[in-house]
Amino acid sequence: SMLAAAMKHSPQLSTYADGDNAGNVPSQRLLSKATHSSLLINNRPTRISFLSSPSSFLTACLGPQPSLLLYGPATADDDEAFRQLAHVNLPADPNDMTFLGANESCFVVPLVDGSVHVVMVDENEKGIRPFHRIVTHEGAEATCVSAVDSSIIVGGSDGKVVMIDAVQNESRVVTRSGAGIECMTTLSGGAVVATGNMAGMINLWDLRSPSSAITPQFTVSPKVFGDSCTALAAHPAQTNILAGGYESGSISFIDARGGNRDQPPETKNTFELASGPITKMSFHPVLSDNLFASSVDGSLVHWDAAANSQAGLSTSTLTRLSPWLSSTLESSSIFNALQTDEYPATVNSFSIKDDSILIACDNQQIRHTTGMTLV
Amino acid sequence: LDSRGVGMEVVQMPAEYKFAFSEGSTIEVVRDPSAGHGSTRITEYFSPEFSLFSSPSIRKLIMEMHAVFTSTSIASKTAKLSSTQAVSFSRQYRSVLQRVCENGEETSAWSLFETLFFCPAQTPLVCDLSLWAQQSFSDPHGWMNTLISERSSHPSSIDLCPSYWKTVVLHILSCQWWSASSLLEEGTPDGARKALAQSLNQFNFHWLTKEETLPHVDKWQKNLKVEQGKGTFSSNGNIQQMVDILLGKDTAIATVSSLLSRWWQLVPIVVLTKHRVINPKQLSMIAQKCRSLWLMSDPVADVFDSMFALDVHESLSHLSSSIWISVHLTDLLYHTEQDRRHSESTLEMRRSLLREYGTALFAHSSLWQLGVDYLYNAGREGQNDVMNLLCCLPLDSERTARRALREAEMAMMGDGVEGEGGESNRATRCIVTTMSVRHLKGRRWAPALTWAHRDYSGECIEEVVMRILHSATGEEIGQLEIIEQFGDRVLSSSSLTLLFNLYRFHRADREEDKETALKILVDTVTSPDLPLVFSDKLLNELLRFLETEDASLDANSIYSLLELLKTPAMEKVDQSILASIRIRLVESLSMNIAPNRRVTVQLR
Repeated sequence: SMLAAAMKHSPQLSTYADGDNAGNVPSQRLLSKATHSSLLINNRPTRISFLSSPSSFLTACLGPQPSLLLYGPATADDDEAFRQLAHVNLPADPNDMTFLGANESCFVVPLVDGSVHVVMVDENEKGIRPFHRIVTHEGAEATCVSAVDSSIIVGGSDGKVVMIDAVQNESRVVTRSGAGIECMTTLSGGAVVATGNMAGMINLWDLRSPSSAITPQFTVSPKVFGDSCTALAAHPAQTNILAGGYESGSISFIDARGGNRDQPPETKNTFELASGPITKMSFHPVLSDNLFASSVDGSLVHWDAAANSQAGLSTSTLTRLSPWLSSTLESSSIFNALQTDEYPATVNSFSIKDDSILIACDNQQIRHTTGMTLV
Repeated sequence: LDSRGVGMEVVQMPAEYKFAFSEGSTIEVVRDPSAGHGSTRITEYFSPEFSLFSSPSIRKLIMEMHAVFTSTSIASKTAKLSSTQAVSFSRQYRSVLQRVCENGEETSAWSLFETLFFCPAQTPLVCDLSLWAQQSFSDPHGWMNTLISERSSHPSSIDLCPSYWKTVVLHILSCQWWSASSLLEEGTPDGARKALAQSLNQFNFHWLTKEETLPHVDKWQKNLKVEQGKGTFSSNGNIQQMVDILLGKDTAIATVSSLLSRWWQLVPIVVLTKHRVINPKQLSMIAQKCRSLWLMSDPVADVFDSMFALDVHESLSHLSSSIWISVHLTDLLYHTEQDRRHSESTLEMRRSLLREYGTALFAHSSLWQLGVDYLYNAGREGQNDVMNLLCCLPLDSERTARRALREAEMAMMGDGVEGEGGESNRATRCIVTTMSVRHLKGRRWAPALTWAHRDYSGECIEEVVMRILHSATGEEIGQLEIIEQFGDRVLSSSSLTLLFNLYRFHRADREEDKETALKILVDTVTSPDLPLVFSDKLLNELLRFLETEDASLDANSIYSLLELLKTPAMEKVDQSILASIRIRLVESLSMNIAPNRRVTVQLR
């Protein structure tokens, strides 16, 4: 079965991917100068994001009272590193959260009731207020969201992808049907959107084509049908590289080759990284040879492929092959485990900014690590 | 619901009835007769446990105790816990409790349990009990706070504050003698106060740590008695009383006992002042004595009675009203117990508590995953509970459904049953069916198929496919790209093959590739595996296609169709359709044979 296969790890990764052994592997260089703190909050956080300052963050939390919580730096008499500044109640559980375009004070949150909420964070990052509510998926859940310039793209559990133009306040349906969409990311400067669905397929949609086109530009099939694609991450610099995380705990790197129809996307590398579904993946926004991936099994892995950058240089071709797509990726990478508890709780999401990372755990803990050494 | 019996003459719906909705809530329906038809008020009541579990501080408590619980089960996987480990885990639990319950009765009970049953017997009992009093009695703190606030109005003479003497006595009763002595030295003490403070300062609690040094306490008490005889304390009645307490006089202790909130808080001082050399079996007798000294009668036997009687199981059953205390304490005890006979009954108790607690957690939608962990520790019955509860879990979102499915699949793996192509356990089938049906109702065919695929036994897929074949429009079927990903699985059942073929047909049709579409349709119609229930529908489709589209059939297809129309199964189909098809086929045939000559066919 799919799960039985997933339980077996590739030897390289098993030393840390297995939660029980995580405590034995020191995260040497990465965390040697890092400081950690943690915070226990009243709700289960499902998504988290740094705001423009690294000492403030916004987190979307699940029931009993679904809400958005804003945290800022602690004052002198606080026990913990952050203090709650504001909150906004939501009518249903949030599924995802992203900020609108480059504007870090406007957040979009799709909910289980099929609607999308837009909230504004104050300039001084001390308050949040609800701004707008749009119903995008009647009768289903709005599961994931991506924002490009002034457009919001929302995927739902009915397979529908809706694009909303925030300026003109009009929406159009990009695709009507398919398996439930689980995750989404934008590539190529906003022209292409990648969606991962419950069947494990990753579809690439060209947003410039008219809305009557219901077939995706490209489809990347999963290795095992039914192994849901649960997380996607777009490379911040190289617009053709896409990383996908699956329910079995494996991840793939895909060369999407933009709009070149002669070269369909290819899955270049696949690894079994964790023993549970991948909840979030993200390349470091600046140092893109670093990838972070979290999973339901409680692991949070830092993948350093910088050493492999040299291996990609080829005298025969003029283009520099990305370390993520090269065949020597696994053997030359360094893996660090960021969660070293004996029995770590599910990591629902994380956020990276410069040398800090915020981790949202299912046991209502928010962990903060700063001072990571990244190359 | 209402109790209508069959055959009753006058039937009247009760105006008011209730039914239990789930573990956590009850729904009451009240019909308002005066307001005419259809006016009902519906109220949902949540059980106290449910609302308790909703409180954020209790939920934090539950989560943190769960974290300690899992560390304990990991540590005790290979062998029973040592005393040091047991005490360490016990302290972790206690610190979690203290943060939520503050220093209430529950923490004192846990603390005493830890002292009597987990701590190795390295120090005399008197030492342990005094330590217990010092660490967990919270009354002195409360009075101290009152005193501090009163102090502002009497800055120079603290002994004029109304709560002063009470505070000092409480500190003495709780064995916190250094605090008592510093209180006595406050301000400008008179001779008696100074003398008592000095005496208290001479007392060294380290004497209690070893049997050999206990006689020092006897000496200290003797000196105190001599001082009393000399009249050092006679100037101050309060001081006299305190000295009497320190000398272990029953009457003095009884008089001040009302300052303490519970009778068992007298035990440490009584042991310290009068019964320092005791063996544990005598504790029960001392407890009884303390009860009698306690002037306010408190007849109800409580957990402290059982603890002083060293009855572990009795103590645990007294604690059962606080489910999270009893379950964790019993679990910790089970992992520590070396005595096999004793641990059999502990095991029983632990199992039933784990099941009760795990089930209660399931009633609360955000805590059910913790409930799974507890139930897995409760043996076979616990695992069955998990399966049953997963079937009843309200699947309020895709996320919950997927996490529940994961638990169900992992349970199956734990049993060593293979997933693919074989069994699915009941919980998996239940969850998958619920989600597929939900999607089917909303006419979301692809999500329904994706969910149904998760049931490896294939039953769910069969039902979903049949439903799609019955209800979906041609256009919708043509959009089911997902079925291309099924690979070889489409051959596993005839209905799935049919759906796949219909998808290909509608897709080709949509893409204006009429020749291919027709070919596929003909192949499908003539296929021996075609479920007969769909024959009508398909033949209609075929007719429509032949009448409206320009595509032509090749000779082979025509002959296969003509053969099909002669089969006995076709007798059940609408004959007019068959006739129309026959006409079209014959026309097509003639076109094939003599493409330039138009032939009209007349029906006989």
